[in-house]
Amino acid sequence: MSVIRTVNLSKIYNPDTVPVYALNKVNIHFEEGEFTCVIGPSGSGKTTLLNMIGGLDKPSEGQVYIADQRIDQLSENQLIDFRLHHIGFVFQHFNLVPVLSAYENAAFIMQLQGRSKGETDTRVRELLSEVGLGERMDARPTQLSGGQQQRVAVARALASRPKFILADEPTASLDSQSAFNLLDMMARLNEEEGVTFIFSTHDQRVIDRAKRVVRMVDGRIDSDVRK
Amino acid sequence: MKVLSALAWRNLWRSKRRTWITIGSVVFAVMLSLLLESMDRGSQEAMVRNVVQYSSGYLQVQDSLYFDEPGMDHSLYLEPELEQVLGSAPGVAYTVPRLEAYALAAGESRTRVAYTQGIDVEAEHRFNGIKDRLREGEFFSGRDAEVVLGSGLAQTLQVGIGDTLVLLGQGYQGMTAAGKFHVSGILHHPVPDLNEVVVYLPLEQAQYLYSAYELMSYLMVVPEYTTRHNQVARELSTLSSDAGLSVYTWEELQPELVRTVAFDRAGTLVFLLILYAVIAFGIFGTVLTMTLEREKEFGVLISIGLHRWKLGAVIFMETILINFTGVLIGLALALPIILYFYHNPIPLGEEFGNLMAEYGMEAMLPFSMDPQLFWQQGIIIFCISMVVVLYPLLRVLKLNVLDAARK
Repeated sequence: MSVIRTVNLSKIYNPDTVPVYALNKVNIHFEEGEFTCVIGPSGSGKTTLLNMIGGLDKPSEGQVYIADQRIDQLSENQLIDFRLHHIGFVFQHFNLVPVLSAYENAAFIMQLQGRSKGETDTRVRELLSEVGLGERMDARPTQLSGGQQQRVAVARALASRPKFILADEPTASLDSQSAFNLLDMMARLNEEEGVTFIFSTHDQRVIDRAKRVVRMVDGRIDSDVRK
Repeated sequence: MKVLSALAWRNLWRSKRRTWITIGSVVFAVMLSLLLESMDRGSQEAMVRNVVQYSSGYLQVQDSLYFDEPGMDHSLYLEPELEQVLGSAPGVAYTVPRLEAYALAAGESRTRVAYTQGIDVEAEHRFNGIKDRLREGEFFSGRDAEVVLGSGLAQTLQVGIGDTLVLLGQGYQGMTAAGKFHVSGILHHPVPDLNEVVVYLPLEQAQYLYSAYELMSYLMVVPEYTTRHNQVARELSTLSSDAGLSVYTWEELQPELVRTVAFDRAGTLVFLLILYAVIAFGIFGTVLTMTLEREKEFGVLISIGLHRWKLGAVIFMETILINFTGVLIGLALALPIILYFYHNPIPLGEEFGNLMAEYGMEAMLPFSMDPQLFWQQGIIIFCISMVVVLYPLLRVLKLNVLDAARK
């Protein structure tokens, strides 16, 4: 079943002068439970594609469907709500809220969603234990290593059980061991819980672990390989 | 909302130094503006008190024709019952009668125009401490036909204690007013112009001189709280309107003084506006740094699903907490300082002090303790701070999430 579907998706900068196609009529599907890497050189359009899918940017042309709901026509506020309830984000620089503990960061989205205290507590404790931070729940981001922070970020992204998780260069700021551990954890979540992951990356280790690799060049899909 | 409140509270302490600097600038602003305002108001209050006490008083009840045509023929006769009613009206402390008229005053060899005032000495002294201004002699010894002169007039007429002074003028309904008086005292009147012309007589003697038996020019009403004199004036107007009387406030009686106060106030306001602008830019600088530093975080929070208005609410709460704390600390610190200077006014230098003394004012810089000052300045500084917070709010509303998250 398609979780994400794009139809002739284009992003054009300077359309009235010298048009630059960040994305050029991209048609792609992402299925539930996939572990996909979007790769390509800088400026190939992979981040733009993820931004469109994540409802962070609006296309110049084309459509984006998430679970059959067209999101490119939603208003700014509707998109914020949509992201809150359906999409998990993991950023290159972790981007945890520095004044909140690991527990509070992971619980943040569920609290914004208005979930009950009990439900949030159970879910967050379970997730933090799963990512290996059951003993560091009260630690602030500054008291955690880069790898640990990224694991909190993954727990935050997963907490509300989103339809999929978008991860923009999630290993780029990590040392090899932390990157390896993080990938291991995400692969396990994908295998065992069927979480859908879509990465943009340059990291060969991520590419090696992916089940599907989409290569982009000049705003187009150059290749799409399922392993 | 709980999570947003927690976020706002924790954000305050993520950079303690910056938070305290911002609070400090609000504290400084509140204290400075309060001290300035208190000093300015204190001086104005002293000036008004001085002029009003020795001239018009805060409130006057007059015959309704006296204001436009002041003269003996429009003197006031008050039924004892009405005088009793006015004197015991809400907000009235006591009343002071005066009978005023111009007359020619002659010493042995010189004659001058004099401003004669028939007064109830004790009531007058209670109101303005006139007896304390006496330089020579006594304030009426109880003998018949006595006057007390301003030192300027005594000098002009070359009369001294025990000398004879002749007053010649026009009395009630065209009666001739002529009398011979002993000079029982010479005072230094605090209002320089009056010091050159004033002659005080006991009220009964003035009434006799001007054939204005049981009459007065006006009844001065002293309010319990001078700041509430307008309220008392309204009350008295209601009580006395049927008797053909009019009630005037010192502002109506002394428009020049009102203009002087307004002019003085305008100067202070300009200074205060400059101070407010400096304060606003100081706070703005801190808020700007705080906003720019956190733009990436703002972008991320919106990306993961925090509505812009909720983010705005977090910033708003942070600013409210900072400003409210700053205003409270500022008020708490300013209060004892102002209280100290209220009881111990700053002494002025000799030269300026002498000048002030000439005008009957103490050679001190008085401070005001008017409660209005405190909440007024607190609210103004709070509002300035809240206007400054509009910048980060607007910034959040217009934030480009992708650009911010990329920073």
